[in-house]
Amino acid sequence: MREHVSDDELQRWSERVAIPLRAQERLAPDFESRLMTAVRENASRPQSLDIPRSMDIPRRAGLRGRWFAPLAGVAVAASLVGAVIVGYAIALRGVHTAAREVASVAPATPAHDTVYITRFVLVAPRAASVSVVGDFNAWDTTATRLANVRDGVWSVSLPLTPGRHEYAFVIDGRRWTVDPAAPATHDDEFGVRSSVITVGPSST
Amino acid sequence: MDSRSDAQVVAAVLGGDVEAYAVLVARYRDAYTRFAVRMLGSAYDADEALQTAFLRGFRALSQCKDPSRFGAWLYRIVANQCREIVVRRGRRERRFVSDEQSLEMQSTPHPADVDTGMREEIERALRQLDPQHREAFVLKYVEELSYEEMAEITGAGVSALKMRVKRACERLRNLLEEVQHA
Repeated sequence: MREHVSDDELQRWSERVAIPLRAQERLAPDFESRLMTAVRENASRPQSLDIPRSMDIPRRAGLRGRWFAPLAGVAVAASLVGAVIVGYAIALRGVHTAAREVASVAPATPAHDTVYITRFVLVAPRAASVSVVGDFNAWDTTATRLANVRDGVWSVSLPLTPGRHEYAFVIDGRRWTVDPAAPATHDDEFGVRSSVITVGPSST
Repeated sequence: MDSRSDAQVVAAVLGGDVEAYAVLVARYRDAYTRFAVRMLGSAYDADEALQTAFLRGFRALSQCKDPSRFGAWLYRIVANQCREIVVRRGRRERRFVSDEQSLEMQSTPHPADVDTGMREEIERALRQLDPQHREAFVLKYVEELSYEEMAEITGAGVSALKMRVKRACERLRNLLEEVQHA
């Protein structure tokens, strides 16, 4: 039989019941050494953001029609122990491109159908696979895989419509990595950040 | 004992001194251990949860907006991790984990006011609460945090937390009364 108890009485009862639960607990003595081993290993890998397992990789819409000079910069972000990550995206246009590997796209079509071949490059020596995900491929980690063109240098070129695009790299199918050379978005509602590239003709 | 503030140690780690993270681990590990054990039911599971949480804390350290409140920030990660594990396990998990390793890691029973048998009953009843209510009870009555601190850790509002705590206490009392009258 359960009689009604006042809030005060319930609180007092709860306090009493909780007393044995306040006993201190101890972890195994090697907890710290195991953890620091994992921390050191993590520190020696390329810079990456952790995707919580319970999250879907976010999908975002949105091209904006602004026209900026194409990104041509290269930034080197050295990690703590020797591995180097370089990410950059180059927007190339038509016959002016000097890059041999990239096919040019002649803008014979109306402006809104114009695309720009954009090369994504990531240096990730320890990766087994690298994909690029973004609003241009519905953030699908299987849609656009980079090729390992030489030791640890991964690359892919794809046509992008002009405007602002958000993207990120995914290493080994599960490690979300922003482009260290590119501007980043703010955290979205899941606390995830992406990189931004603005594609368009050369103009300032 | 390192005399640097949390903010200073965080800055050192972000500046490249990876080993400095051990200072934060040593500082906060015990504070979270009891919470994790009460939430998950065994020191073995708590160990795994805390390893993951501390590692996540390291990876996401640059996203800690107020390094002087590192402890509260990491507590949130720990609580999320425990909640995730409990939800994944499902409410079918009732048994006390009794494998050999877990027994080795058990704290020695406390010759306290309440005998060990009663304590096990309480722990068993606690594990029958759903994660939200279990967490609310543990934070309020075991960790003895204020509602404001609890709000910071759980992301829930104070009145919602008060309701959860009350429900948790009522449910626990019902469960333990059943046990006593059995």
